[in-house]
Amino acid sequence: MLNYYYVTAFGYANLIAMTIGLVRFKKILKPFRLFVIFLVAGAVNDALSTFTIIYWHTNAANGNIYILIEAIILLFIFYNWGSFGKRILYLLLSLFVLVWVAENLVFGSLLKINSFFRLFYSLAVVILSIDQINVTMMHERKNLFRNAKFIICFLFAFYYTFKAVYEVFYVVPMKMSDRFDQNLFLILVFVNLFTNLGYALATLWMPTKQKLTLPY
Amino acid sequence: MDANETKTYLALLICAGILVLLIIVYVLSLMKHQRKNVTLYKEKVQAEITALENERRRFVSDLHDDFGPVLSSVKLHVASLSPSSPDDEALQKKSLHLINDMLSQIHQIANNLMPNALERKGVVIALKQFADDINSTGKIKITVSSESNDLAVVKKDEIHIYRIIQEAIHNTLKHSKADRMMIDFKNTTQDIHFTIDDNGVGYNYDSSSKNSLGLGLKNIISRVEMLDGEIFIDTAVGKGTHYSIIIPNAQNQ
Repeated sequence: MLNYYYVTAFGYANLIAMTIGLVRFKKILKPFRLFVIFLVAGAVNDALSTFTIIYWHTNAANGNIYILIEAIILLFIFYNWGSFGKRILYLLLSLFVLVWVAENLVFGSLLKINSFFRLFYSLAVVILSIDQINVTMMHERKNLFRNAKFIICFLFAFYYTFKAVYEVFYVVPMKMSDRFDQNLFLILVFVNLFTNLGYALATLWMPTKQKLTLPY
Repeated sequence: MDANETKTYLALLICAGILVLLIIVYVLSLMKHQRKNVTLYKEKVQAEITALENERRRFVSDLHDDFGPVLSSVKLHVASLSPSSPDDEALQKKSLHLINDMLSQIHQIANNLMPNALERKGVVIALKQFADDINSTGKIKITVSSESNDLAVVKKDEIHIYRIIQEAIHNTLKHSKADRMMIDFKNTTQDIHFTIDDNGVGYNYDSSSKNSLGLGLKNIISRVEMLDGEIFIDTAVGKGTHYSIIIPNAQNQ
């Protein structure tokens, strides 16, 4: 079993991607800049979580607020990539906020880790990622693994699928021992580590010039 | 963890493993089909463009070998007539003038369809001549620059580079309101890098691409993809348009 320090260190692996992203921020194309902001938001929340866990033994409040911010950033990333138009964006934004408010403010508490919204937006991100993977495949003529959008969407699909599965254990109330709970979390820690290292690769491949292609 | 939880956890790990395996298979299958699609797409574009170029060549050859000589012969016959009145002489002069116009138009059409200089002197010289023709209209000043007049490309690919630039110039003349245009070729060890810049009105690429790219731009992209190259655009309203095209050179193909 990994100790808390290793888990925290693995969580901070996104700092590599964030640093690369910030260094390249001005050069990269505008639709990818929001992804760097997504990485920065994640790093800020990780730092905040470390702090709140040390002092209050829970990161529920900042975690619940962060996931709403993360979901909104992700929606804008997909909007910038042309996944949907303005009307669908507003619709999804309203839906996300509605579900979040209902779970965290109306039916539940902001001070408890709530899972339904996490499950809900994870599934939405997986669906949007699969759609973008197919779009990328239609336009990319060279190696897909050199395409930043493909890598990011692949990692989104990978990470948020595991996250959705993980959250199911908390959405459906069931009795779990602490050890089982920790082991469950451990899977997500490794998935998260792999994803963060993949993000670093994606930030390296982020395009600086608008490439022109025609779909097949 | 009790025995029950251990079993559940093990089942979960197996499920996670299966999920990872499925994702890997999905991605590998995607990549395999992407490669296949790229090959098929290139073959299709290549067939279309080759057919188009062959048709142009045949048309030029018909103009040059059949229509041109017949018209020249008509010119000779008309010139050999001895007019009996001043009216007939005026008619003869007018006819000769029309035939000369027609001959020069045929020459121009043939040259536009398949430039002579391209076959004989290469793409850089042919483009310089094309630019000079356009510059003589006074609408725009086009500069073609290259470290060398010989580009390291396969001879049959020169026509595609010529058409790409020709199309870009037409686009600039049609839409950009530019008065200057620069075309620059650079040979590197692996590629040929050429840039096309104008100082025109530019455009918002994101909003334009949401509708549909113009036919001219589509032709440019198709030819670049056929050459296994890449094309990048840098444009904004009021900032001109900058195309950057990279194609592998003859050694790298």
